[in-house]
Amino acid sequence: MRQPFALIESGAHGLRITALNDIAAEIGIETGTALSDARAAHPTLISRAAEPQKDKTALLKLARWAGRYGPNRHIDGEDGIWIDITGVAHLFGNEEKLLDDLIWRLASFGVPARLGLADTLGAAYALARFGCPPDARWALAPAGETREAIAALPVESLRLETSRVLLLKRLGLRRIGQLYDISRDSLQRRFRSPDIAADVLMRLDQTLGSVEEPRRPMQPPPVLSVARAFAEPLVSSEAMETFAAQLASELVEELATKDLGARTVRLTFYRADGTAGSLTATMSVPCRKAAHMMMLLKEKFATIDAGFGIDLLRLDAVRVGKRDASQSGFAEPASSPFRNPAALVDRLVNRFGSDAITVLQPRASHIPERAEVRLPALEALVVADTWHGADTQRSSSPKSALRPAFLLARPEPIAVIAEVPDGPPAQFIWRRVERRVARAEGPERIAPEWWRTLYLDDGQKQPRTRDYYKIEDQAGAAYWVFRHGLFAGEEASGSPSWFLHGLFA
Amino acid sequence: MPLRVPVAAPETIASSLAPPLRTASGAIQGSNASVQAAVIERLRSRILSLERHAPRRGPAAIPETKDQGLAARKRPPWELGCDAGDALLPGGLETNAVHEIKGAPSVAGGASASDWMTGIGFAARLAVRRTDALSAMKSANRPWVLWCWPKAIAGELGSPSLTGFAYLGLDPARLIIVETARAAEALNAIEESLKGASLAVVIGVLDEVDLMPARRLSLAAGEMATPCLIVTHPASEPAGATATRWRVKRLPSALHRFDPRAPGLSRFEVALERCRARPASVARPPFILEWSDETRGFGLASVMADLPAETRRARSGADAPTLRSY
Repeated sequence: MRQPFALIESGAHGLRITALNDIAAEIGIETGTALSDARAAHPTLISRAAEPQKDKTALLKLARWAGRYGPNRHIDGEDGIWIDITGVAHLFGNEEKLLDDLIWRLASFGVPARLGLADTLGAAYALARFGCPPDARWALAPAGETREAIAALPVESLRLETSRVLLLKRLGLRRIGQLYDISRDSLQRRFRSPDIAADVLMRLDQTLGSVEEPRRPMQPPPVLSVARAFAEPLVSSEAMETFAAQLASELVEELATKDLGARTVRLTFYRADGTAGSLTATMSVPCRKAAHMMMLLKEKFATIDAGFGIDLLRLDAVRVGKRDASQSGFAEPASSPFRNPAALVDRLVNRFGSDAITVLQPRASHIPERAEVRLPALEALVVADTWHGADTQRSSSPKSALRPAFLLARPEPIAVIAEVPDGPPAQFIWRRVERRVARAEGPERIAPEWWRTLYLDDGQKQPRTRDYYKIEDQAGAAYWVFRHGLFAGEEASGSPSWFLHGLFA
Repeated sequence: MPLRVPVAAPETIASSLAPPLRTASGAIQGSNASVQAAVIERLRSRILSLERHAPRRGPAAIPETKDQGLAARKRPPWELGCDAGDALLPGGLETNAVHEIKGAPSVAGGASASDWMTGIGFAARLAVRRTDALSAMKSANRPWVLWCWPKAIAGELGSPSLTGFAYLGLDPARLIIVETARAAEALNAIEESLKGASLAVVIGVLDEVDLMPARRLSLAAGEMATPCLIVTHPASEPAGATATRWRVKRLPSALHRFDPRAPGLSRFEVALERCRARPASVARPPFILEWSDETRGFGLASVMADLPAETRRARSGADAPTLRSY
């Protein structure tokens, strides 16, 4: 025997009812009444405190699970989910079967729901909340027949504020179909302010599909997606690998038809108990080889817990890039004894993270720490022979740029005894070890970039001229030190300090 | 009496012209069983020959195109550039093995940044020799170099510099830097990159390498003929499974050509502590090598060249001063 049940929350005037179950609704209790009044009328009413935070989490979990019906989905308010099932219906047979499947699964979780399926977000909203016939759990508007399907629905379903709905009703427009007949100018003239009219018209256009509605999907929607449902949930990892490999080859075929390669792929698996998980693999170069994708994903398969079994696998290409068709293995079998390092970079990046693998790139600046930058190899790997510096540096004299092989991240201050004003250090203390300088070369003067310091306030530190020296201590180790600031000239305000910037190999 | 010349019957002629398969079995009209036996024999010999070429371990037999790649990667000799050094190693450094380089510890049990730099400098210059040898091979793509070290060491020594590496001779556009959180991950990364067959040389800088990881690295390097240079802490236990182990000490540099107060070409005192290919080389005393930036090779440093020109002339007895070009 089920009892009437209500969720309550404490408001300004005491405890109020925020939600009811169906039996309580049948008896005649309404949301918004005070708990004491409802209890007085129906003593059998059971109540519990509403926990909106937990409701939100539960809705989020459900929305995550709902990804099995389409990767493009987001939460609607506090009690709804929008799912874009474009191209997914064939997995379940047809759209009606998809809706039946969804209703059945939700009922098995104990979640009563109503579904609406239409071409546009607005129409689906309207059908779900206002258009479901009392005995059915879903309503469907056939493709292209949105206008007729929602004509009979009330104007509340247009997602307008209550004041605007009240206004419309006062004008006698209770059904959406009545709005069709009125021309837009006359509708605009009816309302006192143009905003209200614009709002109403925009919602109407969005519902009918003439205006695109912006959406914020939960995850970035994939460019291409292939999925496979299993009648018998998968439990073993070999089965998962086999099917994931099949999905990878399907995805590669679809990518090939569009001349695209995948940069990021995501394998999502949905378990039979309503939970889901995903693995991601990133590639440095747009990839169209199923074997490579599988190799990158396979490393993370061990982390998948099959739980009660996996009954849907989906492989999305989240980020793609242009990649032309190439013939592999035909020409130059022996003339290129080295393979492309992009595959190796992918493997290392997927194992150690994208910040661990970097490449160097030059920048246009003569300040040593700004003259180059380390970028993640995933983004910046350039395999073609396009960096012209590589050809010129071999022909130019090697003494043209006397630079240390290793630059410290921040120049370390050192205590120096040197000739004033321009002499190289005679001895210095670095990392608490005193070293004597046997030989020194320099100075190389690097002035700060005046165009960057034009608008500095007086309080901010002005960068100063640096005089770089290559010094060699008595053991033979070479260091790159600089004096920050000059003894004479406009920078003579503070005393110069010495720093060690790099080590020569 | 006419000679009775045996006239070969048409069948037997046909049998002699038939492919050797058939004659091995005997008469052509022989039973099917003998033909089958011959076919089986031939297949068996083919399988045996395939099995002999298949590797003892590894995921699959190396196909022929990979064989050519392997040979091409091994082919250019990897030499130091000077006779004294190259005499120690038969045919240059092995390109399918791990080589360990250690600096000389200056402080007992510890190592300063400059000790690390000595080992790193020698390793980097060996890598320059390797990439130069490969670039001279006229292959389609230029070789890549991978630098791998854990964050702990990277924090102490700094970050590889583009212009600095270009000055040394390594193409910075062909450099991949791997900085891992832990030393074990660095070993993992090095092993992974050795198996990739896309790199000219892998340089790793670690505190020490245990026996098992060193063996794995050796196997990985041998499989794909990618050489690996490991620079280890000067005072740590040497790894066991390496092809060569060098002990490098830095010396004051050579005299600068124009400015006697400026540092000149770098000099190393190099000792070969272990050489798997020729163990007799270990007994040789350490020798002094000087790196030349123009020829990008090592030369034997000579004390003579440091003396001023007049003394040199007096000692050598030549009229014209023999200036060393470097």
